Amino acid sequence: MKLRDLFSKSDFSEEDNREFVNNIYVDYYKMMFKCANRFFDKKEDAEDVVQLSFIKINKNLNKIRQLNGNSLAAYIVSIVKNTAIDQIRSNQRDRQDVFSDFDEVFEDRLTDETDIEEALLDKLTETRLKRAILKLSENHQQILEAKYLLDMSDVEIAEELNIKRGTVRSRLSRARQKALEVYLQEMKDEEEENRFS
Amino acid sequence: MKKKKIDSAKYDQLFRNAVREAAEKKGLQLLEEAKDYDFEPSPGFQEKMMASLDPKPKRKWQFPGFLRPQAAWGNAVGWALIVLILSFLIVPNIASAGKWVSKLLSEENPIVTRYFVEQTNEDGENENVIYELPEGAYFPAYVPEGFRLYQEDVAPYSAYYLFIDDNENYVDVDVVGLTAGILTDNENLDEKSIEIIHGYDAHFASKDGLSDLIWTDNKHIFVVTSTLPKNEIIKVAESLFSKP
Repeated sequence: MKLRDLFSKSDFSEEDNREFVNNIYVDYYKMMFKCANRFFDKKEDAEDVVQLSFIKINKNLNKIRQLNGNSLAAYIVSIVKNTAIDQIRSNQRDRQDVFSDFDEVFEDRLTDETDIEEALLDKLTETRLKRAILKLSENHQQILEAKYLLDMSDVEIAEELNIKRGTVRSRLSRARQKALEVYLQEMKDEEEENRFS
Repeated sequence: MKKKKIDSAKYDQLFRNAVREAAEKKGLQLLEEAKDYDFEPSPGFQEKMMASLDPKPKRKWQFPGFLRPQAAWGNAVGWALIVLILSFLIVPNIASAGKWVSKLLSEENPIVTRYFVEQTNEDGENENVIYELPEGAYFPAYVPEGFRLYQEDVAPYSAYYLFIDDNENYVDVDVVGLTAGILTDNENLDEKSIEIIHGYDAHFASKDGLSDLIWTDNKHIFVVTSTLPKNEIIKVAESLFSKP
């Protein structure tokens, strides 16, 4: 990013940003601590995670400002979860395998995304797709939110999720693929139900 | 069999709408669940947290806003006042300091490395100014001999240092987050150039004996402002190091 772009991109004063972040805290701190406390026994650890999450939020203020209340809540929880996992990884490197991306390995066995896309292309509806997305793993929901909710670039997503740039596209592709799979399965189940009713 | 061409724009738009709808629903549910959650963080946590986000940390002492070099370039009266105030503020303080040398030192053991700043004056007196830099903190490993660290405010991801010598020269090093804005004058400059610092384009500008070197690593904005010559400013900039 060029320096001049960096200077011109901020439309809000420091005071505005500070007030905005403070409001986020007041409105969402309970939800953030509820999420962080799922990962830690100690209050201080949860506080560290919430504090680090706010640093991430502060970095992405321009994008986060575009979200409305409920979407913002969903995204903030996603940041807290990601930060908590990063924190545990750095605290306990020997337990890293617990948090390894096991579903990526699982997903490698899935069929090619294009085949599923072709099968569903004309039948996809937003409402059904929304239901499928809500059934995805946290990892998958998180990358879809970064891409489609915050319109982040691959580089920004890599930084946000602490993954390599090259992994962003493949993980995104797997997340969409998984959503389509869930979608397809729901359709089949519905057809079965209709047949027997 | 001929494959059907996927309309990626339509496909992306569909996902965009669905993800937004899903986030709405998920957010609403999360907020509902948290409504009765009985948890209060430690007293003062909110203030501490907000302070850690401050892109421009509060300094123990700084130039009044209208006299800040960034804001006052182009204002001849401002410059005259800066020189005047510097002579009043700095000279009496450094008079007793003698020739100070600031050095970044480290002590290593198998588990941790401890970094700290030591200052020595010409009488061999030591003064440890910062006992330990926080993790991630930036510090200039090089400042020319004779400069004493006069003021500092260090946080993990932001830092401010003011070094002065007894010839009224100073080096001001500022590391701030991307949300901070830095103002520089670009009118009637004596010199303007692009330098490379740690692989990034750095904007050098000089006017009336005061120079700025500004660059970003896309995470921070670094600013070195000094009365020193360009080559010395570049050496200070290149020595900026982040504690691992």
